[in-house]
Amino acid sequence: MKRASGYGNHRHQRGQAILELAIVLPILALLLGAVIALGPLAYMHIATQQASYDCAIAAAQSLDAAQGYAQGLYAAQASFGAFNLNPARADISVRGDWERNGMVVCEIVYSVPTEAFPFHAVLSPPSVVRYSVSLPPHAFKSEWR
Amino acid sequence: MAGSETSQEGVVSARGQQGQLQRGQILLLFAVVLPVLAAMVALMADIGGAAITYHRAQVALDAAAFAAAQAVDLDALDHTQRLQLDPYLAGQLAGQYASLNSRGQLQIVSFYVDRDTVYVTGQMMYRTLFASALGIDTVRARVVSSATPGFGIATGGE
Repeated sequence: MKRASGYGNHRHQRGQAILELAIVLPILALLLGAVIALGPLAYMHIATQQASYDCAIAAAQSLDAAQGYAQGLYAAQASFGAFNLNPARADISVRGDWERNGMVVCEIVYSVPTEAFPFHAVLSPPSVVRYSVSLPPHAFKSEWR
Repeated sequence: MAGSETSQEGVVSARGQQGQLQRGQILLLFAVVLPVLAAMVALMADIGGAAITYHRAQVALDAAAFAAAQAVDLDALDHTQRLQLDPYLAGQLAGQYASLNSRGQLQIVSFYVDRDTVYVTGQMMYRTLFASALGIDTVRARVVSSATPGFGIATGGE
């Protein structure tokens, strides 16, 4: 009888351990998911900031709107490429006034691949990262046509 | 037989004590480990936030320096044939673009013009999310930048 009681106790212990693990494991998993998501999110923020700056600098090198637009777009895409991020996920907008004393604005909205993050449904990371940089075009550059 | 029973009782008693010790071990261990893990995650969030703020400040200050470098003093250029910047206008442009590119968060700490080069120092504060529990309410991102005016003939691809 005592033996049987000992086995029952052992079984009870195992059940208890499983119950405790069932309580603890989701919290641990969520913490781990947050850790996994935080790094890439910060990286995407920095990449988008840099891409918008590169875009604005490149766009500001010209006083010609078409040329400035093309340069800005290319620079932003190259910047995302350098960060090993997919430029196709970025919505790049280059606009402004390519005149002396004007202003060009490069705004980038990067779609975060939230589906790649663990527990994204629970943690709900931001779906987009948005930055813009404004610059005056180079005022003392002449156009050669 | 009596000795054997006593031995069995001893085994069962030992098992019972061990069971009591084991019971709640995972929860106890978790209670110890969870704050450490949570603190690590919080630290990661704050380090990430500070890194983003630092980069944001650098981008905004570079843009401010670039804009300030457009303030060429045309009178001086006419009279002396030397390229130099108008410090007043350069300062205005730096302030305008620093504010514009940081949503008013970048503060220009020092501004200095040396002929055709502008040197700017700025700072942006990051308000911590979790490190405030350790008494660190804000992290200051201090950045420096410089720029010279671009001039010449713009050609394709430049």
